[in-house]
Amino acid sequence: MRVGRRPLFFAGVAAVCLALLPATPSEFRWVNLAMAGLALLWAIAIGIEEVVGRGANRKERP
Amino acid sequence: MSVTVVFIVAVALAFDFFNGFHDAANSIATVVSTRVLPPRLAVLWAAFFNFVAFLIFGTAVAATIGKDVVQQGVLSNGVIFAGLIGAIAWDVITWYLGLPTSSSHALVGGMAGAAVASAGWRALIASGFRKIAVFIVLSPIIGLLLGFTLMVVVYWIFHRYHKVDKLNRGFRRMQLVSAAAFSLGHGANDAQKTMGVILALLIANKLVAPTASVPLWVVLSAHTAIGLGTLFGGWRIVHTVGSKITKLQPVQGMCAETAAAAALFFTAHAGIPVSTTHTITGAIIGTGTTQRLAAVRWGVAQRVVWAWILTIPGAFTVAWVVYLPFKGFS
Repeated sequence: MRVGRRPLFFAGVAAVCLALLPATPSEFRWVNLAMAGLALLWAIAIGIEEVVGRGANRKERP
Repeated sequence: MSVTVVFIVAVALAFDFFNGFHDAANSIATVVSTRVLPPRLAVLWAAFFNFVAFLIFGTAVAATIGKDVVQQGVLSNGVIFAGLIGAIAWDVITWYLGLPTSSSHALVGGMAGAAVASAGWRALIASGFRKIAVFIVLSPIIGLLLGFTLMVVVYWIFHRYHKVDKLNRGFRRMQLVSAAAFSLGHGANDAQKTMGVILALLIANKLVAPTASVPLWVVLSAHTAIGLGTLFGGWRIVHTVGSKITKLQPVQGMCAETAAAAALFFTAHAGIPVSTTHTITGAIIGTGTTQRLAAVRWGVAQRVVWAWILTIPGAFTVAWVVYLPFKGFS
């Protein structure tokens, strides 16, 4: 099972947000966490959509 | 107020004017390319909302630039002037070489470079600098994720609605609001950077107390300068707008501007100076990513990353060199 580039892109964005966490002033760390959470949500959602879409395409083929 | 102070205030306002001049395209690009407004009206629209931003937002960004980047004791006329010249020179050099640039980061780098040349590394306030550095990277990411999320939400809401023309008309009208919001965010964030520099200058010359807030005349003159810059920059863009702007759908323009405006509102409220150009670039990439990754011009994203790496050290170095002759006098 191969995951497309978009889920990896969003996972990468989440990783950048988390990597910046130690450098972020404590009062703004919620921004990193919220953005990392949002990016992970999209990474997972797009990943599932791609896998389900590919499965459906395979079934439709004669 | 001495002649020197008046002269440095004029240089700061000139920097603000050119900031508006350069960034006018960000504010009007989407409304013009989707033909929501004719170019002339779009320019007036953006300039007006640039100017009125002072009525809505506080001056937290100005306070960060004026008080949280460089130690108060180090600030002098020479340091502030060299910092401004460093930022302006770096902007001009990168514009000439076609390298990416951010006026906001150049200003921070310039102030830091001149301060270090004056008093060494102890002149910098680490916590203020760290906040700015982190949000250089975070602000385009916020724009990207909000832009993507907004596009998905809009698709979900309207995907069963088949009257495309009516829908496009609706999104065009909404773009008037989103463009106004983005111009407000731009005015609030970028004009405040100049206010911060002028505030630092007034404090250094003991014309206001170190704990004072930004005087009203500074607020008004900074917003006037950026508004006029947008007005003149926009007129220039009127002639090239047909060929240079990427074609966007009204819905994409609306989502990108709304996402970028939300990010700018947050940072203006929290007192974090960010690049408006990078934020809208992130938001446009976010809306493009809803199609597929290949739909995005990754060259633009690459240029943003280069801007992150180059601008602060570049402006720092130029300002450091510019300050050296002043060191002889002090």
